[in-house]
Order: sequence, then structure tokens, then C-alpha cells
Amino acid sequence: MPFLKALASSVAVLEADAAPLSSAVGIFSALRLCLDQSFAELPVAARSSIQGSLGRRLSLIQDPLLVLAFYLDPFWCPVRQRVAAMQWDGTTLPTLRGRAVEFLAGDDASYSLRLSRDLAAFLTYAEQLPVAFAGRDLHPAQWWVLMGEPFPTLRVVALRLFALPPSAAGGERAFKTAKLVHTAVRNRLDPAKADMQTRIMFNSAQLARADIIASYGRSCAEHMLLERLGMAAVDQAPAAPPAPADGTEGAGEEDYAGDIEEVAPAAFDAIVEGVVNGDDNE
Amino acid sequence: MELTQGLQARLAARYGGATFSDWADPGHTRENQLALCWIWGLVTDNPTPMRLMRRLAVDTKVCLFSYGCAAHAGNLVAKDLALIELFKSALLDSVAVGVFFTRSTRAGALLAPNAQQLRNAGAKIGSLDLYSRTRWVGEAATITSVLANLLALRRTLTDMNPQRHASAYFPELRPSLTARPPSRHWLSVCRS
Repeated sequence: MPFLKALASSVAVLEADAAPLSSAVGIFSALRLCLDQSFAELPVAARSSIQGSLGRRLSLIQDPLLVLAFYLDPFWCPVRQRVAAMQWDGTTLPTLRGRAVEFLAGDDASYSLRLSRDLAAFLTYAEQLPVAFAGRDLHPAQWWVLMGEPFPTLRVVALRLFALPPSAAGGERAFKTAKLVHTAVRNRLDPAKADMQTRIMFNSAQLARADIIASYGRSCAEHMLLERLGMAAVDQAPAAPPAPADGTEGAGEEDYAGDIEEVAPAAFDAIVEGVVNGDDNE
Repeated sequence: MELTQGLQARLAARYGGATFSDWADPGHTRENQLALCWIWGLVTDNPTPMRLMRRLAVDTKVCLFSYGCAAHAGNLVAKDLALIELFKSALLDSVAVGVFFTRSTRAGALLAPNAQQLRNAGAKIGSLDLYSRTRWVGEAATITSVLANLLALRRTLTDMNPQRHASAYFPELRPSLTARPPSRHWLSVCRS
């Protein structure tokens, strides 16, 4: 039953409003990998049957650009290496990624070259990231806004891709709002008016919410999948900054500790005096 | 073809003359075309008519690409799982338990205080969910709700027949229970 739970929580992740496009391929790939390594309670026959089902169902939704989005999401960096040889509908993910670049570039050789160069540079950079790097929990769109400057051609593509949802659940939620507008009592509404009222009701509710991209964090389900694969984020101490070349090692904060102890009470007394005497400009 | 023309006309009427296919003007560079494209992706669920509609939208350059809904695909995987013998029997048992304890007033009344007592002791026991085809991954919801209620269900049945040991009920679900042992606090409540 743990697999059923994992599947249910994965679907809950995918239908969330702020879920990034990369989660579709990411979660399905991670589930397939987990079936190889984890969920020992499942018999082999059941496991292979589930793997077949996962492959068949993903082929229903798969498009090369979904695979490109998966490769552009830094969260799924650790999974990429392991799924490289995995076959999806008779094709490997790197092949689909190549097709996506070809599709985006079309006949424009110069654009194709820039896009491929940026992608290669990004993948090399992403491979060097530690398992728990700062910003791993950011929404990938936000990550590309903050960190994507070295890859200018790819950044535009990434931002457009990560603005898309992986599921149609948001649209279905809008239909649910329509049910509140077009009720049994108000059943003679003009369709255009019902449509407008639905949009107002749905969009007002969306606007009243906090910024879902800014407040986005990776779900427990995604972290659990990585944990099952042995790729869980572990807190690492940040790397020490390079030592200065002029031999002044050790001139750190501790050298100023004494000064702070002397200066801080004096400054505080001055502030208090200023407030008491009424010459505080603030 | 007629359908395509209708689609373009509707879009033109709604968006003041501009159609979504204007981005594909061959006079632009590919990069500009991509920048001008209003809608990059179109996502729908996965039945055949919707897949055809997606293809139509891409062919008429309404959008750059289209793809299927991943949540619906996950739901279909759960439906496939329900056909595997292992999950099928668990689902059938769960549905049987759920139907019995929700439709029989007396059984429900006997279960409620037991569940509440365990809930007060800190156990996470929700209501028994009956199977619904339209719920997202409804198979998992049904089975996990029965598993969460397992101790309360056993207590109820033991109350009715004290000579029989609690673990004799639902033996086929026992491995799932032992996979996650209950907490010490929980055990002390059950013993009391």
C-alpha cells in the first residue's frame, strides 16, 4: 500500500495550481525508478505490471517539450542521470530532449546553436550542484529568474515553459465554479453572462490568494520520492570562501569582537540619550 | 477544415482581430516567432476526442505544442493498479468494509465511539471513504482510509465477540499494518 499512497500524493502534487511543468516527467520517472529500488513488499510481477502501466500512461501525455522542462528543473538534477537509459514509449529522454530543441529552433541554425550551447552549459552547471543547494526548493521559474542569467537564450524558453501547468485540474476547478453560477435556481442565464460571471468569480478568488509562485515549496511527496531513491537533500555546510592572497588569513570577525563590545553600549547610550532629550529625528 | 475556420473566427472575434496563428508568420526569425506566440502549451485530459482537438490546435498554430494532463494520467495508473490481483482484493475488501460500516446504522454507531476514543488518544483516524470513480486516485483513498480505521474496526468487532483475538479480523490486511508499527502511546490506549 505504500506505493498507492505515493501515487495518490504524487497526483495531488500534479494537480496543484503552482505545480511546475517539469513535475510530470519528474514524478513519473522517479516512480519508475522507485519501483526498481524500493517498495520491496510488491511482488515482481505486480512491479513490472505497474512499470508497464506507468510507461503506457506517460506516453499518452508526453511531448518533447515536457522532457525539456524536466531537464531544465534543477530539483530533478539527481534523477536525470539515472533515467537517461530508461525507455519511454521506445525512446530515451535525452533523445526527446534533442527533439524538443530541434522543434524550438526550427530552421534557424543560429538560434539552434545558441540554444544547444546554453543547454549544454546549463546541464554541466547543474551536474556540479550539490544535492542540497540553495534554492532547491524554489519554483523553477523563480530559480531561472534569479540564477538564469548565464544562459540567456535558454532562460526565455525556461520561463515560458515553467509558466505552464502539468495538469488540466485548474481548468476543471474553473468548471466547478461555473456550477455555482449556473444553478438550478438561475438556470435561464445567458451563456455569455454565465461565462463572464464564472470568470469574475474564479479570477477574484485567484487574485485574493498570495503569490503562489513566490510561496511555492517542493512538496513532501517529491522529497519522499527522492529519499526513496537515496537522493534526499542533506544540509551541507556552505563552502568556505577562498582565502585572501595577501597572507591576512585569520583576520575574521573575532578581531572586531572587542571593538563591537566597546562601541555598541556607547552607541546605545547615545541613542537613549537622544530619545530622552527629544532630538531623535526619526 | 470547417472546424478549424470556426475556431480561428471565434478567436479573432474574441481578441479583436488578432488570431493566435499570427506568430507563425514566416517573415519573423524563429526566436521572434516564439516570443510572439501567445499560447505555448495547451493541456487537456486524455480521451481520444481531446487528443484530436489538441492535434488540431497545434496544426492550426493556435498554440506551439500540446500535451496531456499528468494528474489524469496518474489517475489512470491507479485504475490499472486496481486490476492487479493484489490491489484488487484489497480494494474489494476495503469497499466491503466501508459499505458495511456506513450503510448499517448499528455498525456505524458501534464504530463511532471506538474511532473517537482512538482519535482522542492522538491516532489519525478519518472517516471511512467509500469508493468513487470520480475521485482522484479513489482506489488509494478508499484503501488507506480503511487501513487508517483498522484498529477502530478491530476494536468494534472484538467488542462484539470478545472470545476472538482482534488480529483474527482482516488477516489479509495485517502485513500493511505491521509495516508501520503503532506508537507507544497508541499501544497503551489499545491495551487499556
